[in-house]
Amino acid sequence: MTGQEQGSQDGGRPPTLEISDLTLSLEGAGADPVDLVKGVSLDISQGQCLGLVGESGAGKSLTAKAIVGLLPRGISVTSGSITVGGQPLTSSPVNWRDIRGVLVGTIFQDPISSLNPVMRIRTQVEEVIKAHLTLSRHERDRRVVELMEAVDLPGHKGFLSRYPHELSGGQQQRVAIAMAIACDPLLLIADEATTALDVRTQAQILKLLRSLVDDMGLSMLLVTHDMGVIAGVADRLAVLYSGRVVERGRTPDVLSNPRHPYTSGLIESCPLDLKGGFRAEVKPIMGTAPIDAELIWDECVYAPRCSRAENKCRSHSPPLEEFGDLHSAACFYPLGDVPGDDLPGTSGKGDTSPLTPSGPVLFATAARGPGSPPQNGEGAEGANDVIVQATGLSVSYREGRTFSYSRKAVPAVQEFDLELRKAETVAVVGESGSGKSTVARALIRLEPNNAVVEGRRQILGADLDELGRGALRGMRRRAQIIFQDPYGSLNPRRKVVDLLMEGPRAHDLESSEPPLDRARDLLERVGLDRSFADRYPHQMSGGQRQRVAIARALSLEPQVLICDEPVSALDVSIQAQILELLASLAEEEGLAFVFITHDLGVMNMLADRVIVMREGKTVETGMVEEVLARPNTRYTRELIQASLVAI
Amino acid sequence: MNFWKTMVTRDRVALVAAAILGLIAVFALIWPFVSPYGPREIHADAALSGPSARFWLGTDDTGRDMVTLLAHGARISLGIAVAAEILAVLSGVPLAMIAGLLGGIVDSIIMRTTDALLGFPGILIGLMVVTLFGASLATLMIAIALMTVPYLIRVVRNAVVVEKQRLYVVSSTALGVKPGTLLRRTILPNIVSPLIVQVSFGLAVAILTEASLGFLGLSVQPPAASWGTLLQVGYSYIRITPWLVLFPGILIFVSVWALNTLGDAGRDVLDPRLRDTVEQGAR
Repeated sequence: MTGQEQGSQDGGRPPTLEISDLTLSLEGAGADPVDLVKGVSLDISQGQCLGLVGESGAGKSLTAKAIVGLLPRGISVTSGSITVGGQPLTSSPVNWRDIRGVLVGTIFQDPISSLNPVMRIRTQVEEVIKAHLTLSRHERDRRVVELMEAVDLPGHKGFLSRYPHELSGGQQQRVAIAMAIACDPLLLIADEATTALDVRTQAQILKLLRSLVDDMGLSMLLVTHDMGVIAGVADRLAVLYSGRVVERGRTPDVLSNPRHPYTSGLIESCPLDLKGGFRAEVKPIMGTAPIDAELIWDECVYAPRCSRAENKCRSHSPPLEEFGDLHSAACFYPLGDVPGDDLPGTSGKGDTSPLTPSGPVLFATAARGPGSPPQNGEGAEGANDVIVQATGLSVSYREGRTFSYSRKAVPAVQEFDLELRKAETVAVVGESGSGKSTVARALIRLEPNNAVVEGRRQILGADLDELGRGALRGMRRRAQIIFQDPYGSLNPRRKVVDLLMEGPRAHDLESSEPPLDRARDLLERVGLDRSFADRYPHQMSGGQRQRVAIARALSLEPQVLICDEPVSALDVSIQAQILELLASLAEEEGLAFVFITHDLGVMNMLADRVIVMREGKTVETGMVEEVLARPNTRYTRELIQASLVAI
Repeated sequence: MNFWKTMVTRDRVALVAAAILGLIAVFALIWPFVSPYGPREIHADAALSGPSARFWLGTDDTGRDMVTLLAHGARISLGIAVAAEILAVLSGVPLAMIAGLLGGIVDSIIMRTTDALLGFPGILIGLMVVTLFGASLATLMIAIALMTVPYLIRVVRNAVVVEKQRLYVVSSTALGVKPGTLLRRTILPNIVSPLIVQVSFGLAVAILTEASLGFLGLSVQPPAASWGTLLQVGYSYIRITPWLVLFPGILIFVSVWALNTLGDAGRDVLDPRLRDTVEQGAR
């Protein structure tokens, strides 16, 4: 089937990459092998970009690694075949040195760890050339300069003799790309190559990758969790779920008319509208993906999360079915032709969250209640409503050891002002290094020991720097913080019930109600089953842990939650669930939020006002709609443009 | 304790090491009661005799039974080692916690002092202390404790610093949990395991040091016998009766090996990367 597809497109030329019916299995000690990837078929023809999209554990990275023979120990190809440029990579023993770098170039997520820190840029790039091509010194020099031009880096001596740490993240990734394409490979694999980069850099790198495909005729396999990236770059896409391709087709077709409920859910979970623009709401997919051991192959892998699932889905595994025009999906009850005409698969019945009993539109910025725009707050009488206030807050870090602390501290945040009122959500937006996380901690006096804080910070009118220890502890009840990493913020040694009761115990808020019941009530408030009280953090998924972290913050009935990138470590569908929970807390319980994020889509959904930060300074402030529609500064404009999907 | 269970089930060699240590301990505890000979019982007729049915491992130059001597020596050698480590833990852990928790200048003073101690070869410290205060059980213990305590302080202090910065500790602080409670609930449990590993290495060092000092004649004095003093005595007769150094040597070697192996195995279990692979399966 794949061959015919190609044939019709490409005049019979064999595809650059052809994966057919690939199965990758994990062979456990003594246990039966578990299939992590099953029956995956993909192909890419010359000058084409295929996006491989899926959430963590879907098998997308494993598939990519199988192509270059870098499967982790214990995982092997148990059936199916991979060919690159007509050369089979799975049948006979393969000399991988002739494949990696020559036929297939690979770029990984973290540029700094894929570059050797003690080698100059020129040497690194030359190494690759030397390893595979025999060129004279002169030719080699020319080739290095050519490559630098190809990735839009300066080719002069000064730049080439730098070390990786002297480059920015984007430049490092460009060097990694130059190394990947140094020997003119047929195929370029980009494995989450832009995930670790800031939005603006990400947009530039994606543009570069696309130009390589267009200008040099490279074929590219773009592995990512981000639908936005796919939408901007890939010609075709394949959606992986739990090791299976559930849908594939041309990018515009799939995005505008997804057939598989999961694809549709993934699109709806994305805070970006893939047609350009931001969404006011997301529709999360309920539940979580199965872990390896739970995989059952004689049913539809998505059935447990799918509200369209019927009996047939639980007894038979649906094959990929053609919908014409290269678009196929593995679903017995595919979605209809018109996008959005019926999407019960994403929410509605089977909805496990008690927080969203009503319709598909879960929240919207416009629906935010009283107190959202503080236009009436100009007079002094509004001061009672102010929950968090920062005036001229500056944070800097002293460097070095005790005996040699440098006199001059490195500034992280300068002159930060914030006035947060009841039931209001303010987003603090910026790229990495903008000081936004420093702000989050400094607002409630949780900055690290080596930080020097100037300016005033108040909670409910009390100046935190003037409070004694006891009073500070009391004040902390009012303002709680949620961190990005749900793995690190919960003590792995303690049960959920203890984690949830830690706050009340510390404040002697023991009531007549038994602690277990209180913990269970809290769990219910964040949409978790009451039975979770007995679990340990490692027995929960990332999204569940983040819910527990939120419940923990709520245990003291705070008036403001400071959220430091609370969803950026989570998978897209889980991210949408958590956003929905936070929005409902804002709406129904009147909590105020300080929302630290790098994601303008997330900001747009939750926040009333926004503070844009860059390198520690406040660049722009205003109402979210205002700022998005009419940004005042060039920086904000660039951020917005880079965030939007360019189709 | 889960830590030990994981360690021993994962690592067969560690199991063997633990078994050997157990055997040596049982031997040291039980044998003096079972033995037909006393530790000072002299058999002039059989001095310097080789292994036989009467004296399983032979006799020393005064005709004392080697097996009995080794058992009593084990009591002294292992006793000094254990006592020295207890001393090191009691003095080192509080210092390390103070350094780690307070940070700043206090941390610097404590840590630079331990660095200075580490600068001296261990045996030199031992020699200094023993020559200054005379060879007695107490000075031996202090000398050995002084040698192992810097390593212990380093390990525990670093564990405290790492723990202190963990997100869940910050998050508990945000909830208003008192520092004392935090120390008890999160920091202490997390330093126990690295502490056990370090103590295991420390015991090995202590046994070796006691043996070296004993060999130099600076440990317990005859007729009392430690493994080290037995080595010293045997060394004079190494050409005639090599087993006099052989048997104490084997015991020292085996117990040091076992303690180091246990420490290594413990460290493997503690290594977060390895721990992850244990928790998540082979993935």
